[in-house]
Amino acid sequence: MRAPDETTIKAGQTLLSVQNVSLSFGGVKAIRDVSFDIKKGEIRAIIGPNGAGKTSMLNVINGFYHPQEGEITFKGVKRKKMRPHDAATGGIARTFQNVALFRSMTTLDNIMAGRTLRMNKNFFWQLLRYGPAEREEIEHRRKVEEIIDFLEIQHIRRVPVGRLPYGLQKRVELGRALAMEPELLLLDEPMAGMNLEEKEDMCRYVIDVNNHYGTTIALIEHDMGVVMDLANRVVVLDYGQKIADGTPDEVKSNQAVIDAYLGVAH
Amino acid sequence: MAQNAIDKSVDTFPKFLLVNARERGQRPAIREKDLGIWQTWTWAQVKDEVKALALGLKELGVERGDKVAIIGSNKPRLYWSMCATQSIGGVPVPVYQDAVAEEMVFVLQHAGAKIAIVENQEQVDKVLSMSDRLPSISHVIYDEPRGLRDYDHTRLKWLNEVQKIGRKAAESKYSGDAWEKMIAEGKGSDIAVILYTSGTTGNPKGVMLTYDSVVISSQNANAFDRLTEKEEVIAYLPMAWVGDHIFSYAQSYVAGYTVNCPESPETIIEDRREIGTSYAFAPPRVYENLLTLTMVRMEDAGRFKRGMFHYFLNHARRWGEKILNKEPVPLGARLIYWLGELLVYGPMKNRYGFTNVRVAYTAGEAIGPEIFRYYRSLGINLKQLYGQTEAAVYITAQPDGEIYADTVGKPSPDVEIKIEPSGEVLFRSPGVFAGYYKDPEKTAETKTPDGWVKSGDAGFFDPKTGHLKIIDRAKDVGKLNDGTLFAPKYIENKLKFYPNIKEAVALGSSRDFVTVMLNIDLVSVGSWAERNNVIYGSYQELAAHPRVYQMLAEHVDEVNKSLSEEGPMAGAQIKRFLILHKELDADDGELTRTQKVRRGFIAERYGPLAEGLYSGAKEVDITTELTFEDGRKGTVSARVKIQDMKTHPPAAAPMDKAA
Amino acid sequence: MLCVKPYNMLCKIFVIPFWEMWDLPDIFVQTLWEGLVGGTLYSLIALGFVLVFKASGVFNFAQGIMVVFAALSLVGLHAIGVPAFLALALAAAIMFVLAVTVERVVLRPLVNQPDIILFMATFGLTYFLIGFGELIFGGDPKVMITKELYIPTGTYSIDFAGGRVELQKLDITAMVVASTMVGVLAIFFSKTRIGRALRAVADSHKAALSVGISLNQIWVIVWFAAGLVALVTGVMWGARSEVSFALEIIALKALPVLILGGFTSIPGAIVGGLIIGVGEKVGELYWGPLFGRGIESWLAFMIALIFLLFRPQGLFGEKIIERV
Repeated sequence: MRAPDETTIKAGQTLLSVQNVSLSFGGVKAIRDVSFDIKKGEIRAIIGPNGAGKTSMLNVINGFYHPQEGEITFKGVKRKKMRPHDAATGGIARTFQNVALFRSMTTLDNIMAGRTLRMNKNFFWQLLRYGPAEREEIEHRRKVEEIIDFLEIQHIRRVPVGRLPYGLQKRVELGRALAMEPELLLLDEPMAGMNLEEKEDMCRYVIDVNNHYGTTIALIEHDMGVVMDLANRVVVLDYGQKIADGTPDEVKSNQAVIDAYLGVAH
Repeated sequence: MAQNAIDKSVDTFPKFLLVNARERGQRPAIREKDLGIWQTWTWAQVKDEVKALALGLKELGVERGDKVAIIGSNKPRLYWSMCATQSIGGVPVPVYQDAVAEEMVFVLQHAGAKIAIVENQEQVDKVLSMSDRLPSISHVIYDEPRGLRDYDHTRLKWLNEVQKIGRKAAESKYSGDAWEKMIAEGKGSDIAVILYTSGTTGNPKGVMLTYDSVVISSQNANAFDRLTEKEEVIAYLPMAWVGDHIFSYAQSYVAGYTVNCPESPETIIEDRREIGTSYAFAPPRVYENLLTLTMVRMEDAGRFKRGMFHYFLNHARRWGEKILNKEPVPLGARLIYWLGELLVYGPMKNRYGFTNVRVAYTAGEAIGPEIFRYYRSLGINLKQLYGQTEAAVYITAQPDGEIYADTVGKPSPDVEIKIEPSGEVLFRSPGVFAGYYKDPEKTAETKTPDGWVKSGDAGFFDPKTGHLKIIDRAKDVGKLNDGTLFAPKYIENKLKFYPNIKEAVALGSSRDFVTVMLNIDLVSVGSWAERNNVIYGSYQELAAHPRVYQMLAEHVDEVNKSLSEEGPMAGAQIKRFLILHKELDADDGELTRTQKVRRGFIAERYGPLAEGLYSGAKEVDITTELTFEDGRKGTVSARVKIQDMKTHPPAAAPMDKAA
Repeated sequence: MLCVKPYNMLCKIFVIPFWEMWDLPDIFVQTLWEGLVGGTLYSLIALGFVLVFKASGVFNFAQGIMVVFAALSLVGLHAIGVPAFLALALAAAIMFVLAVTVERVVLRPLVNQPDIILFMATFGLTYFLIGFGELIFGGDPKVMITKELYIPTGTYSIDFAGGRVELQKLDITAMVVASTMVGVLAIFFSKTRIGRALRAVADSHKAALSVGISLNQIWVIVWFAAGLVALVTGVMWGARSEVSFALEIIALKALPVLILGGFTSIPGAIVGGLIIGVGEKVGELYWGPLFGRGIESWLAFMIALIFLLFRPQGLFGEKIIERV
């Protein structure tokens, strides 16, 4: 079961904020003193040129990286660093830039794995898979089937995901994240490597997730058109630093952003 | 036997529903796979659902004679919408759900639909986006609520809400047997349904069918194949197509059998396997795709498995059809066939979901004899029929035991056929349509005052078998400049029997010689490329690959060879061909909604290519506009190579190709 | 004799042994059976390796010593007066404690280190367990408490093709216990949630973490499972010979089994074990004299080596299905 919410956050209030975070690997500074916030219910985009530190930022938020400086406040709880397990139990789910799935397992099992934290941890019952555990399994299966229906991937239910084309793998990965019923969903380039039609589908799913489940979404994306269509607010990183933050229109007309994208020398 | 046929007073589908609810109330009427589980509704439950929906529609203002458009994939609630509309005297108008906005707007305007019942958000968006051009539509009702929560609901209603309104009305305004009385008012001569045919030219035409014609056709068909309430069919072809209307709605209501709605278009094969359908119907394309998939999978299989597959397949090719036709077969061959059934045919049929099939039909287009024989040799009773929307499907069908790969069968019960001197096939039957909606001119063109309908197809009766053979569209049989007979479809079909060729367009009418434009089959050629280390980045690149050209040239040469052996066809051999750089697509208007090529349109659209084929050019540059699914447009340019072919001298003695 | 001069050697390799098998089938069947029993125990050891390797990517060199350590704990506990079955339960508990300790002390601090470091760490673990074991239980060989655990001894004799085949009841028990163990593990892996989590971790650590699967918990579970497998192996092997540190070298035999079966495949470990077990015994009896006997000690590696040439991913090793 998930940790009890310390405070209940209403739509529009700050769900997560990152304060003065810096991260370096050896001598390389990946993130320098970045602060921004994510409000409940919004779609927040993090953009920037290659190597701007976007993925590192996501990894800090979900606890894969531990920043040397700064703090992360999630649902009112201040932390020096997040651990992956804290993030997951707290309701943060994510997908990965290059798809990290359980390749030998079927679509169904992959999404079921997303239910891990929602499952009762009684080892004994699980071992026997009997009685209450079986009832619970059916309940989870139902939830998973809803997600399969939502993402229209019924036809690949029993296919090991390693055999699926890339676009479908991305969809399964989104399904697994959704199975966690997250409060905050982190998407690392959800449209990367997709063709136009797949991109449009993915956009629709992202919007539907946000509308239908009210899930807060933070996404990294290269395709500016997609970002402008999807996001409520955009934060722009360049060389590990925040150079702009605001609505898509504000960001679009920001000189620093234009320079960064046009590659003006620093 | 069709027991219901006896009672002549049961002459509309709502009346059949009442009969079914009474006589087989607990039998399954319809199923749908949802969230991974098959949900079942009995005839009694369907009656309740239809009643609630019907009264709901009545409350929304549907009057006798009003048209109700139904747009979406095969879902129980959409089939119920059809019956609900009919029960209160309305006329359902199913519309192709993948039609682009322009096509849809034409049909909805032309039919003057009052209400549109649609499947989901996608269709709601489509209809609402054209709402200013559709003043007749007062309400849009949807089945699947996802994504529609925040829409303005003044004209929009969830189907469940409509049923709720209907249930309330059933308790007050229409209590007792008010609904049954409405049903009783309907009669056999009323219009049951309007089906728009996409046709190869011009705007779609609304074919009006009366209850009498649909009911009698269905009764005859059920009797012809001895269908009972125990049949299981799977509904996956467009609801707007007459085939689906007859198979998944009319015949089911008349015989009382079960219709199964698949989970999604991609899961049909698996769903069919789970259900074990006993009566199947599909255009040749479906059978082709299944076979192509099998062959591709077999190429990737281990050597032993592949060897076993081919061995037993050859055995089946030799004996399978004879066993199916109950001809005498040596014991040894029977034993090996039995072993093959255990090892290959059985598992194969199971994979296709054909294990329990008693009768399977292919129709709509000619099927490749190889493909046709393949299924028959596995022991599947695949038959051909010839039908049209204007005939409520049935014109001819092959009776059990009289199956030929190149005929479409004998006239169906109660159908008369005659052949015009021009070769055109005319038919007359109780199933014949009442007329084209709002188009008496076209009606008069097609239907003579004494009830004969011009099919538009050229054909002849084979004196040996007494079966009808269709050559081509009557208007498409043309001549080369030197007067040689040129039947484009005949040539195209020969080409399309090769798994590597997806589509073919033959040109030659009023030209000096025959040329073709080909479309490669991406699955088949892609798999070949993978096996042969041919590297390609896109469809276009693969299509232009020299080795692909070489491979298709071999196919074309074989076709030329077989044409050379067919007497009058020998002069129509293919002199030059090219491979198109893009897939022909219904969204671009290159194919009809039933996936037939629109030859004239293509010749025009690819004008430079057609010119190149006759100018002697080796390469032609072309830029083509294409339409994405959402209606946006883009362009694609390519340099297309043209290949010359040798022709074969006409063979002295025509060889009989049939096995 | 059948063999004539110039073809003498070839004949002795390719003809005589098979003729002997055909001529005296009872001896052949007897050898086959012994090979199968030995193979079963190889399979069990390989299974312990595979479990740990799949879930944590660690090649656990200490699996062999864990077998010894588990068996010694059992015998040692019984020696100080603990009833046999309680001792068995306590030995299992000791394996659990060992699993927790390994996870805390070895795996957790070394997370994200290269595989070779973790492999070296298991070397360290091996020598620690040897030292620790000798300190507590002493270095002399011990006798397994076979009777106290109600493991049947004695033999069944079956008349077969004019001769007789003798089946040790102990061996039959070993086969039954081993198959049950494998069956239970297979069900555990494929049907339970923990099994699903184990497979998930085996596929991708990163993804498993992101859905909230606790790697630490999984590691404890697989090491504990490997410990239980070790305990069963120790009991069975100990009952056939004796419990001593010399047993540790059978861990080396797991290597050819793993090469044959693939490092990540449970069915591979089982089939590989059986092939090696049978190959060894049959090879020794029929081809051994040609090489002056004693080929049992290296034949397994020979088989593995030849196999490696033709199927480097192993018998059941996952064929890599990738799409780019």
